[in-house]
Amino acid sequence: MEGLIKEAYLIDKLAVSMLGVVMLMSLCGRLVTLVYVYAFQSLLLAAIAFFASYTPHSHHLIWMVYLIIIVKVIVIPYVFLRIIETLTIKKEVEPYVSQLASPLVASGLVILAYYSQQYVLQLHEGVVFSHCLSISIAVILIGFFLMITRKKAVTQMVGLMTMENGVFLCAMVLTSGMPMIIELGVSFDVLMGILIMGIFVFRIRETFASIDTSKLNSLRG
Amino acid sequence: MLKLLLALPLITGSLCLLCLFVKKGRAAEFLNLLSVGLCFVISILLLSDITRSGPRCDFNGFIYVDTLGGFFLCLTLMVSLAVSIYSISYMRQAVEKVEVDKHLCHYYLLLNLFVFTMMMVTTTGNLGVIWISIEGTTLVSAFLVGFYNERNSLEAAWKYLIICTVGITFALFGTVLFYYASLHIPFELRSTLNWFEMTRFADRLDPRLTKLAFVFILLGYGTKAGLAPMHTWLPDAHSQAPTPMSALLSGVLLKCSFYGILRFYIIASKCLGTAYLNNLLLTFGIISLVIATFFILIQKDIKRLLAYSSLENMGIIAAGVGFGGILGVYGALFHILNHALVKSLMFFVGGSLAVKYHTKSMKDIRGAIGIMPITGTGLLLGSFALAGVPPFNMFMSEIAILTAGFSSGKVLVSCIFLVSLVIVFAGILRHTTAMAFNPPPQGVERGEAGTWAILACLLLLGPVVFLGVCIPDFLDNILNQSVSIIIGEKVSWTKESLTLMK
Repeated sequence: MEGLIKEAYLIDKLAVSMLGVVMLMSLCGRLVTLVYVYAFQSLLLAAIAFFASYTPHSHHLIWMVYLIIIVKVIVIPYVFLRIIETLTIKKEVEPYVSQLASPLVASGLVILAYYSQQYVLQLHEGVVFSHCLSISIAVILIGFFLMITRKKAVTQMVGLMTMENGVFLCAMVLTSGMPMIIELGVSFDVLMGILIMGIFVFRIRETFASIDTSKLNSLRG
Repeated sequence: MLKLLLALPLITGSLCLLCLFVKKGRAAEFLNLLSVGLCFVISILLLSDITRSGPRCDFNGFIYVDTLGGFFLCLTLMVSLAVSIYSISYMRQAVEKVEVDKHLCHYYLLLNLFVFTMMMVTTTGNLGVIWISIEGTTLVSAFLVGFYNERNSLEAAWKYLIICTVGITFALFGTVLFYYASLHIPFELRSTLNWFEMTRFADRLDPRLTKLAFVFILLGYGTKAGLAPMHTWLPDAHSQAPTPMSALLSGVLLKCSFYGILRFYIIASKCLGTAYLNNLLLTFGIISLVIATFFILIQKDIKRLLAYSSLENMGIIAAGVGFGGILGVYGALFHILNHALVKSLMFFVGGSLAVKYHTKSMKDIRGAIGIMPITGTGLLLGSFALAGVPPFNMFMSEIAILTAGFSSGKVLVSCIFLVSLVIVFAGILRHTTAMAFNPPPQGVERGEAGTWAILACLLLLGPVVFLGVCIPDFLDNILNQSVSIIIGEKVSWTKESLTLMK
């Protein structure tokens, strides 16, 4: 375990910075910036996967590094940018919750994640990397919060991908990676999901002349 | 046999793609019917083989079918077969007249992929693959929900896609946490997500993490299974999809997702005992039931009425497992079968009526018995079954669950359950008797739906009536084996205690 301390230390640092980057997303006012921040956050995830691959039983995580870089750092942000560019949509994020209140709520969610882990679950003893569990719960919650408080279809997709990153963080650091074939399948599904959502964004835009999802409100009751 | 079963829909799907290029929509229709029919026969043979000689395992546990999985597999293919038959009549008139072949081929391609993903859910023993397949069902069926490409159907498809993907992300987190809970067990023992291997060391999982994991699983797969309060996508998707798809969504997709919950329930119950899990399931079940009850009373649109009734029935099923005991779980599984039969029938009938009257509003559908005698009768009998009137199948399973409720000592909850059932009974029959017997509107000609549509309705009506009168031995055997997989003790001849009650 001696050699592990350095990796564990680095992973912790990276995970915390990932949390910081996700917090930054709640501040973003422009769509394009949001996508770049997402790409950077995925890059941090890839770095975490790289260091995590040095922990026992997780050599296959090195493949995750490539997978994350290709899918989450390059392809998905590219798809997002293409959608934004082709649709020439207004570049603002348009939140339901104001730009000022969003980071406050996000910080609240981080506190909640730490609280739930330390006082409700009382996991701090005997479980490896419990720090990362709180962070991944926080990332998932903030991603969820971004999803439900933003009007644009594209921002909802970014929020969703952030949630997915939180799950990946947990899967890689805490469980030393799920079996490889599962990770591949999950990544494939995520990628397909984004492409299909992209197709629907185009269709919605054609039919509604907007991608403001608050206009999707005719089905009720 | 199992590999052939899984390959068939994929082969048919690619043939449909071929039909798309040569523009032969009719060919795709019959290829699909043939393949789904063949799959259904194979799945029945497979299930009868499994009940006699034990589970089938292949590809290092990636494919694993036991009686519980086989039961859901047969259910999926049974409803798919009925849907394929009904689609022949329905889709010809539903697609635009200009590019009939193109739309038909698209439809059957998606249908086959959808059936394939649902078959994957039920035939795999790997919890990760279950997640991948359930996410796959969302991705494929979103296209089917948005098939008409109109404002409302696009809205429904977007909601469906987003809400279910978020839900499923929570389920992935739950799956990861389950894996995390096994972290302190030596690596050689636990390096797997295979369901049957996880059940073996389930008692050594970390209980605190397992609790948290199960909550996420229930939230995640519960979203897809249509449990309230995560059900908001359900009425929209069910009402906007083409009618055969609504039947498939409601009849089996919700159940496939519930199957995911059941698999985790089995593992978690070995670690935590059943009290905590049952309370969770019961809470979600009763909330779904009560919410659905109110919406059923005020519904105006026939497909939305049926959608809320699906919500109600998923509530009943969750409550059935939540009440626990042999009778509760048996009733829940039996209810899954009954609801699939009845709800597909009702969607078929409702779809035919909506086409005939050119509206989905129940106010304008009147005099169905006079105008469409067979479909009208189907509407009446189906709604009797749906409302839980005694000689029909759903009465049997509801009474089993109710008995389990009272004998488990949860009297207050059982009373809420009973009252909701009574209100639903009144609500559904009020709507449907008006549709059947009120004087018909001017200008609607007498005349039945297409032959294939009637055939599909009659095929479903048979078992609906029959299962209310008696439960055949082989079905009882399948249900008993499935119950013993879920609660982990040997069970047999449950149907006798059920008939005694009657």
